[in-house]
Amino acid sequence: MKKNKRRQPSLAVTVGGLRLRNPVLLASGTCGYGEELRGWLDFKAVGGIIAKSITLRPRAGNPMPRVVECAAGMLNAIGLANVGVEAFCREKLPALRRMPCAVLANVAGSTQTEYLRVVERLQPERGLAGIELNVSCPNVQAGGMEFGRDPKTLERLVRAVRRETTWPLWVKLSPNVTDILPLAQAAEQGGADALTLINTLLGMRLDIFRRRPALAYGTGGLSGPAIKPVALAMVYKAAGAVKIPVVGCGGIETPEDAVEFLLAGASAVQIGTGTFRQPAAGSQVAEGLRRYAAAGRFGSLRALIGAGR
Amino acid sequence: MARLHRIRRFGDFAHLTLSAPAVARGARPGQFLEIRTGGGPAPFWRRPFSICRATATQVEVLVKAVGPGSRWLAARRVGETLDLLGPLGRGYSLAGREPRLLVGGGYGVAPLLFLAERLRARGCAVEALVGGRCTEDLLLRNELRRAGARVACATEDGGTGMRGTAADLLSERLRGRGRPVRIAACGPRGLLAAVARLARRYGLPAEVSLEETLACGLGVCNGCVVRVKGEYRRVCVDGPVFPAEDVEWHEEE
Repeated sequence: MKKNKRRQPSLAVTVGGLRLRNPVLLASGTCGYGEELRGWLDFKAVGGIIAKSITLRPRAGNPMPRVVECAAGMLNAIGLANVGVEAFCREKLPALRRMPCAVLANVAGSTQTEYLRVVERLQPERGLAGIELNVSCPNVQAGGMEFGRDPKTLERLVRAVRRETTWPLWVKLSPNVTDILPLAQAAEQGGADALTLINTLLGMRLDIFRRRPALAYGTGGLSGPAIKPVALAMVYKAAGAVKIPVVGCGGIETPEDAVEFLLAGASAVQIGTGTFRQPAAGSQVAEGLRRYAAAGRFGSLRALIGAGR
Repeated sequence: MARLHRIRRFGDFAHLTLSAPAVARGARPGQFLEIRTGGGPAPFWRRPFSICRATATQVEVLVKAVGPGSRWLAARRVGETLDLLGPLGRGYSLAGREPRLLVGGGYGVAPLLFLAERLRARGCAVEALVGGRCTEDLLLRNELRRAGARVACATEDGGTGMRGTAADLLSERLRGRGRPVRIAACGPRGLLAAVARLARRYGLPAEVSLEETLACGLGVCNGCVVRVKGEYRRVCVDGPVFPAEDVEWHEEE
């Protein structure tokens, strides 16, 4: 048996200025501040986690009901419930610093100034590997998705944040647009290091007994396997139109799902709602990728990225 | 993962005994399991079930077959493997030697059996006040008696015991009672609100187990919050058991 046949293929990737042990991350809003999943998942087995969105001030979030189940997925309208950047730094960061994987902060705001003040507040803190900008939350009245719908507004925001930080800067885009390309390009122009595609799709359900929307907020964000084909198409399109890496997200539950995203052109993937069904989904997908790479003829997983294009 | 050791069906219900030593060892009354149902892509979420008893190696849950997930679960056969997470959540307090009044409405009696067993093991006197719409809704009465609890019943149609609800039974028990007692309740929200009202009126400590739709069950999604002491708390990890006086009952009062 030749020695090199037994060699473990490397899963390490460099994505948007970040060196990751493997290309599997946990998506913002589906892994809390890390501590909630302790004991359920081996954080040494994933490339990184993106902490729950933080805003300048604490947010209580939307009224109940906030979640409803759908075919092959779920709707949520949590409303960016979070402790605010100050409490995040004081109460959540100490544990996040001890995470044995990369940790990105996810930043949301209702005005450009709010985004900038959160990013500014994070700058002196140790332990964060980068920032993901949330310009795609469908469940808040002001800001959120608004920044992710207009290329000019988005480019201005990303450029302003870029001036504020030298950290790796990822921008998480919304699929709720006519054309993803101008927005992907605007984020790139503004100075983003990578794009995360996609956040949830706007959707709703109605309660036929109460004759009201099932969610108190009315509409919500659809996630889960139902959105995987949409996410794949957007990753495929965007990866062909920008030079910066694309991080795929949307309905990934299995290693095969992740491979699809890599073939479509994603340099890394995020596991979101999949963690709700299987808390160890992230580490299981990473482990599966390792087996997939070992069984194939790829020396490293990098050869898979964009190979389906 | 857990192996289905025994299943007993009656009416719309199934009582499942699962071999899951690690889960059973750590289980406390009031905690729950998140069980994957359907055997395929649907239902999308796991389904939460209160632990109704735990031994050294086994846990038991009571399943009411009302939707696709619970119907699937109630139709399992001995020897099959179930994908479950647990024990989850914060359960009832076992502290204090005072006698306990356990108030269960319908299906809500499930965690109270486990609580009754653990309280009896600590030497507490336990009376279970079990209510339901009709006699068929009165669950686990024999198990509660075997656990050493006194059992009193109430039915809304008057079929068994007092005509009324478990809260009416509680009201009757508390009237003129001098000795301190602790209350633990589980059941429909209206019943829990009534228990909270009575506990406040008599100045007695009460704990209630709240129910919400759970997406993750692990505290990450913030989808199952209730207003407790002026802020949103997650039912899945901050509860499901909360002090009755801390819960904001709103429209129920």
